[in-house]
Amino acid sequence: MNRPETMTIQQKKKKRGKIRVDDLQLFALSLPTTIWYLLFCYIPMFGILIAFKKYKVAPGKGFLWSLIHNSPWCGLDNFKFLFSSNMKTTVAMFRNTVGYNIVFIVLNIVIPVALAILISHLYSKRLAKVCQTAIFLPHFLSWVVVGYFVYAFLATNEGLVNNVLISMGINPIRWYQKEAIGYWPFILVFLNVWKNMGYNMIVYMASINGIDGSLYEAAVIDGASKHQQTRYITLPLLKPVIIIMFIMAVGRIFNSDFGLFYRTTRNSSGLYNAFVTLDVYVYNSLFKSTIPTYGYASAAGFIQSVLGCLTLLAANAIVSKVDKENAFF
Amino acid sequence: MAIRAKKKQEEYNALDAKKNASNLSDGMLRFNCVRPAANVAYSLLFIALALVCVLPVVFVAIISITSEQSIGQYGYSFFPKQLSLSSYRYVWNMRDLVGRAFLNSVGITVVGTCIGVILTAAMGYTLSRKSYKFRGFFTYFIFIPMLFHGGTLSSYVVNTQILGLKDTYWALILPICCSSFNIIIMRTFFTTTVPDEMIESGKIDGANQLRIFAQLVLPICLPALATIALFLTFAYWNEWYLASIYISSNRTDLFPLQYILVSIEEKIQFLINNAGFMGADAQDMPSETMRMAIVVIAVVPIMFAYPFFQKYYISGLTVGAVKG
Amino acid sequence: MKKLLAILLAAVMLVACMGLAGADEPVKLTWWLFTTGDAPTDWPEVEARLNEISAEKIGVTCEYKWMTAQQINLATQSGEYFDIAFTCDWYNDFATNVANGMFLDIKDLLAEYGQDMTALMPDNIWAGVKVGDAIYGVPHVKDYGMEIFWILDTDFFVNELGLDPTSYEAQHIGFEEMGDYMAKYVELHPGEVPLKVSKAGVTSWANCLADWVSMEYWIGLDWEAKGTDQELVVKSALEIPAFVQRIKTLHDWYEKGYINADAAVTESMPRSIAGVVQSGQGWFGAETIWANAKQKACFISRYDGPYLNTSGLRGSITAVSSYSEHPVEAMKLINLMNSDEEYRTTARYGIEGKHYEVVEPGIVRKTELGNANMSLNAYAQGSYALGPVEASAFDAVPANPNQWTELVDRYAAEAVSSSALGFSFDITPVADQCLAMKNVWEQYIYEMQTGTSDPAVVVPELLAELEAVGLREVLAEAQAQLDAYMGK
Repeated sequence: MNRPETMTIQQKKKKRGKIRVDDLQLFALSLPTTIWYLLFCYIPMFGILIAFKKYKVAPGKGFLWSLIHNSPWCGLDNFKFLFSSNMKTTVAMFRNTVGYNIVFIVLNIVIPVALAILISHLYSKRLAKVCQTAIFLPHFLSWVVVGYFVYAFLATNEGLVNNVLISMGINPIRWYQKEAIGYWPFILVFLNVWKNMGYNMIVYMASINGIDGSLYEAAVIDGASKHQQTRYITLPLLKPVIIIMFIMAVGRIFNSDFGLFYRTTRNSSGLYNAFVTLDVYVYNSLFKSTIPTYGYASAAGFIQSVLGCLTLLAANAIVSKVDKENAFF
Repeated sequence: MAIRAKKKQEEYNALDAKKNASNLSDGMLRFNCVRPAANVAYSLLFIALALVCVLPVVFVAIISITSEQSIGQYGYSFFPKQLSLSSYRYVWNMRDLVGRAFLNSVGITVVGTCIGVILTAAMGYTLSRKSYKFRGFFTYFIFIPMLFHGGTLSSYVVNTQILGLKDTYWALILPICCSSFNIIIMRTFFTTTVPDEMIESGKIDGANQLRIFAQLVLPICLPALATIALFLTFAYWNEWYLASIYISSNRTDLFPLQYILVSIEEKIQFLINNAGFMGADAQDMPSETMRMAIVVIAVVPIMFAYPFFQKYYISGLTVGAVKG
Repeated sequence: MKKLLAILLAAVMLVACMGLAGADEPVKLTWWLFTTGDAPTDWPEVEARLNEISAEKIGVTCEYKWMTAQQINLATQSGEYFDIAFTCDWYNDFATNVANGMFLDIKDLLAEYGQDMTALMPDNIWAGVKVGDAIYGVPHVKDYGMEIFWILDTDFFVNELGLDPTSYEAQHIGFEEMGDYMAKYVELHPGEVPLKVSKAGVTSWANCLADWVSMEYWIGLDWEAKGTDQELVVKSALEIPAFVQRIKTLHDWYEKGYINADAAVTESMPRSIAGVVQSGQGWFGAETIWANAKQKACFISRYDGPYLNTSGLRGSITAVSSYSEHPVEAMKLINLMNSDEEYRTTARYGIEGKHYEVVEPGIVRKTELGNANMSLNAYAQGSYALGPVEASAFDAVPANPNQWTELVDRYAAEAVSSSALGFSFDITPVADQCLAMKNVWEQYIYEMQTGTSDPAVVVPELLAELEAVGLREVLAEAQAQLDAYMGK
């Protein structure tokens, strides 16, 4: 596309805007999905307005009427609560959200890709299957349940870790209190990788499985080692998937996995600085509130979306500089 | 480094020797493996990882058979002092509810996965066609909802008041059957694995796009379809949020299994948050052992569904093992 | 095609005719009820029975919809139709709904159709639901005054220590005083924890420490200032001596090992495993319920209250929708629920013989099926005082069928009334500050109410943080609203 002189006649036609039968057929193919998007994503989007209004329900009138006629515009008032805390908390919450996400993005690409490749090298396919199933298991446990599990390890008196420490003659640590705050970033990162490892592996395993076997055949005939095959065949063919996964993850860099941060730390005050993220902050401000909080929640979501959108576009721009073919747009 | 390179060179030489031997493909198979030492190391790594991942499930199972008193006294433990099956007895007493919920979950998962895979693959395929005129438009079309959404309240209004989904199975199926994430993964799969020549040859044979999609493209993309199907299956199986807002509490016959579990957890959260106000008659906390029993019941069946999908990743997994 | 049309037309006509013929049919109402998860399994059967009764007596039937907090929130905010709804201070918030005009002023309807039930209700119960001259709901006769109790193990306190559970002293052990008993317990049972609590702390520990304007942001009036010029001054909890004293006591207990070490991060502590000393808001008579929850004999001892304040009086209310099409019938049905013993008992216990059995006049016992399939929060339906009480599972803890008349008398005789009855704080003008305050409190409250943190360190720290996010503005706004309320 960037070299217009190589355009085929067909492409030139397309440029002129004629719609071909092919386009119509493809459109027909995507029509059901399009309708789904309209119904479940685009129609409800008027709800974004609520972020800029003081929503007040009018008895017996329904949501739309209330939103349009009964709720005054309030500009950016709903956004203020996000920044009304003291500087320390605001900084901690943005630092944690973005910081943890950067670490997660890197690890959740590097580790699953590595494991997907390694597992394909195992001699015993049965072992590969069993291990892969096992690695997937944590995905089924909710964070609440994982929270219990972590607690069994870290409880002050009955916890496994402290019992081991005591038996080794080391002073036990009160894991849920301020003295242990230094350990928690590592615990949180570990838990995130551990829980998502199996899930993330699947995309890469499926991609590896989709690679044309004849490529390896040719490589073997050329005398390429396993290492070389991985480097020159597997990884380059995984690149598009890796890039897409990366870009999508970047789009959610201002969102955080609430359950991970809130349930495993048990919202413990001493650890607050280590786990407060945007979502935790919003939850702690709004839950069981007696005032209607849809406006606030919506505002928080909107800010996350806008910031995420900007970072995603930036990431996409960088990727398309380097590798136009695999960029998002 | 040098030594390794040298070793490789030797291996190549060995290969050359083998090439000259009679059975070529056998030799290639044998060659195209990691070294035994590496295999042992990798195996140990995966066994360790598997243990780390299985442990919590075992732990949950152990709590579910620990006696409530023992937890009160000693906390959670891998080696409980007293065992008790009372939690399972309790769940057995709820068998009508739990059994029904189990069937609901299975049904919702199967139907939802089928619909979802079709919708996802269709859109993913059209977006992977570089010659498609509306490709750019639709890429943005599915990209925007990935980040922006109207929020719970407006979705609730649309789904209940316009689509009439309240208290139906569809409320648990339709709202999550598509996701931009899945469509984009699908698009990437199609872009990388479906060669343009194949589409062109299909067209030359006079097939329309629908037919090409169904008869040529889908069969070669089974691993990709299985991936999406797997994601959808697990998403449906773990889904509870939709039930908590679209299924009214009277309709226990529509509850999925996960919602029963989560509603118990939510009950606990509610009781904690309002413990002070609800007075003596507040229902008491459900026991932890019982919750763990339900976790076990929710996790075990899906473990059996897994191998069904797994064959699509593992079957050809010994990378480059030359077939034939 | 024509045939189909004809059939369709016929069907429409039939429906229309039925509609006309149904003019004498009972009016069908919708009643939103509180649940934490699911409706009782046997509710459809019970509802059918209820409708038989109400159709015959007042010509009304009703569909009861059980709603979780989230569901009722979505339903009211999206304008779904209802006739009657449960509302209170901690669920489907009464004050907010009144401010939004969701509830009907039922003053006149009450005078005309609610006399049966008003006759059974004490006079001091209405203050919570009145706004000016208007009445926006029917409060339920229950433990509407605030009394907080120790729930004490009979095994230890009676059998080991020799306390007489019927004596006045044993029934009125003060909060601090409990420390002495726990000291004895720890001495006799080394290694065991007498007061096991979850992160919610000693249940209901703070309800009576102040006349709370809001327990979400922890601001209120000091009870001890009643009668002085400070009576109507809104303060932060940290400026109220009783509050600070209590968290000091809790910390002392925590240090002495009376409270479990990880209390601040413990999610739940069912009564069945929570130790020999427990706490809760209730009334003399609630011990049978608690004994059931503990699965052990116990007696109770009051350490706070009784107080009459807005939050207690708004503990449980039934309101009529302002857009109900049948307000008269709605009032008739509420009246029936709160005055007709048969209807009330069915709604509460289910079908006689199946879900419960009458043990003696005024006392019933739930069957196993009743416990499994008809377990609900009965106080959310209507009057708690009407109809039989539940039998005790323990001989040592007999049920008292007269507990409700005694309760009303006790409140009349002993209860201290709030100076600001009926006042509710509208946080809208200072919402940002309030949300920030809540966030700050979230970081401290769990460790504070379990005694984990040292008040000497934490209180100044917390106070400074609160001031930084706008405590004074919130207090000033609340004060202005209260002054305006008292002025009129």
